[in-house]
Amino acid sequence: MDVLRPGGTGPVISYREDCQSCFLCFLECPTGAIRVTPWRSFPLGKLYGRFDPEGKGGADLRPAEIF
Amino acid sequence: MVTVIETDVVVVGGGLAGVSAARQAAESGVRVVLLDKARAGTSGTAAFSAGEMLCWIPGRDSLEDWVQAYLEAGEGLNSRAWLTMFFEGQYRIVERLASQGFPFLTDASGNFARRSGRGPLVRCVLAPMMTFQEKNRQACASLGVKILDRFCAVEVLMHRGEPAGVAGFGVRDGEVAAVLAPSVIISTGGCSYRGPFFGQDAVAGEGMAMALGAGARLAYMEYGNNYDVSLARFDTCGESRLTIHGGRYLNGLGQAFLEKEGFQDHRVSGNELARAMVEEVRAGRGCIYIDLSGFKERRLADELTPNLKMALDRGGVNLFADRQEVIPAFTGASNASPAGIWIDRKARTSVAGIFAAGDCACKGLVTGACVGITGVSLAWANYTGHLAGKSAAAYAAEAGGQQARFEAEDLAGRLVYPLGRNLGRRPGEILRDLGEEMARVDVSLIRSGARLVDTLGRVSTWRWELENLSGAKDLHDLMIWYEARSALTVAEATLLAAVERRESRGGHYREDYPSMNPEFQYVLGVEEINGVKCVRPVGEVGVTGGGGGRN
Ligand SMILES: Cc1cc2nc3c(=O)[nH]c(=O)nc-3n(C[C@H](O)[C@H](O)[C@H](O)COP(=O)(O)OP(=O)(O)OC[C@H]3O[C@@H](n4cnc5c(N)ncnc54)[C@H](O)[C@@H]3O)c2cc1C
Ligand code: SF4
Repeated sequence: MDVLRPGGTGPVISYREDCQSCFLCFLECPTGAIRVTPWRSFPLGKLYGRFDPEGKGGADLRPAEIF
Repeated sequence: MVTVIETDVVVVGGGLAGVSAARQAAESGVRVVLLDKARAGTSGTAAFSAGEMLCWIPGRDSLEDWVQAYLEAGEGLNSRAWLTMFFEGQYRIVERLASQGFPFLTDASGNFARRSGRGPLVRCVLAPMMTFQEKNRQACASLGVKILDRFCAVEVLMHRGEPAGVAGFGVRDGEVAAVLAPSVIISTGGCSYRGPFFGQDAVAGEGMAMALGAGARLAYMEYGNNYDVSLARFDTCGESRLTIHGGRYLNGLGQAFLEKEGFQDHRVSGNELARAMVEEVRAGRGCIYIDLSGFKERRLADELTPNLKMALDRGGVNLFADRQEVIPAFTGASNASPAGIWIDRKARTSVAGIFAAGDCACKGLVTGACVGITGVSLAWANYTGHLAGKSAAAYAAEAGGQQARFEAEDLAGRLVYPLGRNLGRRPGEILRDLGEEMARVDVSLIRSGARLVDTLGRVSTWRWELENLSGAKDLHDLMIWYEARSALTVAEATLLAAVERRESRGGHYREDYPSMNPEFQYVLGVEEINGVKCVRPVGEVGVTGGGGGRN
């Protein structure tokens, strides 16, 4: 939310950390000016908790593209 | 300086429930103000959804079969009266909306196209929700609804036990305002702890926290633990539905484990699916993959969720050819979670003049203990939104233009006090810690009394940190500060109710009480008494009719 805000000459990226890579702005942009990284925006922590001590469930997966 | 706006009905939150409530209230002829901290219509989870809306259709479905199937799935916590009213009412509204040009998909004969989903007996009508919500917003505007976007509501103003309106601040301009009205509709969506999945960043439980603070009761909070499925590498959510039409889940050994467990039929709910995934990982057979090579409805999936297609294309992933890793996606007390503000059959909360609708109202009245039924959330938002709009307008009309009293006094200072303070971590960091903790499957899916109490301890430490140290560096951060505070309240209510329900029932599973206990066949409510959260039975839903409770 509020990732893009109106600026003097057009939208500016204001809160990049809030982006959920949902691609709605990409679909809506009339001039095709927006590019979005498709990958998970932040890691999920210990999702499987004590049930997966060695992290084999993959929930900590951090896409190399962004981390 | 506080701006004061007077109206008859103020609607807080403009998702499907809020915009529908505002439109319905305006159609009844009263003045309506609709507030959204982002953009009413297209900001909440509704606009991101896959557009599958549960809809019983007379002549095509047996009402008795539907009611029976949902009563069975609800495991004693939902009510026949509510189900009957919900199915019939939802159909009437869908039919009316279709006749007004809302974009429902139709089949070759011009009838509503429908498809099945996860849950007891699921048939959903289909609508592209972005287009739907844009039309809903335009309908509000043409009926004269005053829409205030970028306005973050913070509290329900109370005067002598009655609501006087809602106070909040502009997220862009910082202007503090009080919107005064005899009727307040709370429709801020659920609480996913500002989760990391599409559409979840707008919902952090503000409505539930505001209602609790105003003296209203929450219910079914132990069921604020909705899990769906997400692609591990993307922020997507809702992939559980893809298996209905030919998709399969595989464990790390390539085995279709749901079929092995006898779960091949669609009646398995989202939370049951997530538990099956966790058991595979726990047994050392993780990761889990989705295999959509046999998926039959690709064109429809692309039509209803074009953004998902864009993300996958851009990532160079062909979901329908390559196996993809998936994980349980925690969305907490939002989406298909039964948890929320207790309402009666007119969408009234336990405080006269306050109404609730959508994800922030307890849909347990129709789902009972079953967490994760496809299509029920949009249907609930649509139905309760219209219900709340109608009831709130009637309540305001009865008030006859009498404006509740309110003194602005220290409102401005009170609402923005965290601004500029810089003693501890940012509110977003605390909220992220909280979200990660609540998403852990050993906290929210497979529970134990000891682990729940342990998490409660962490939550109270985070609350202390937020309220005493954490500051907001700008107005956007101030909004997140309030989101964090609300999410902490919802977490406390959820954990306390889960501790109290010393049994396993539906989507609530306790390792230390693995069986259902007939003595617990009642709904648990959470109220705040002298600042302390109290959990106690609301009444047997089937007996009280599921709406009366102790109103
Ligand atoms: C990816 C995805 C797919 C889904 N698919 C389906 C589906 O196919 N079928 C189905 O039934 N359900 C689906 N759901 C769930 C469904 O979308 C939601 O349950 C439903 O839309 C909730 O509607 P709502 O109006 O209650 O809340 P929301 O649509 O979440 O709207 C809440 C609104 O309140 C605003 N708000 C919040 N706090 C404040 C505040 N303090 N002040 C002012 N405004 C505030 C928000 O900005 C937001 O606009 C899906 C959800 C997701 C995320
Ligand atoms: S991808 Fe989605 S969350 Fe990110 S900026 Fe665009 S619309 Fe906002």
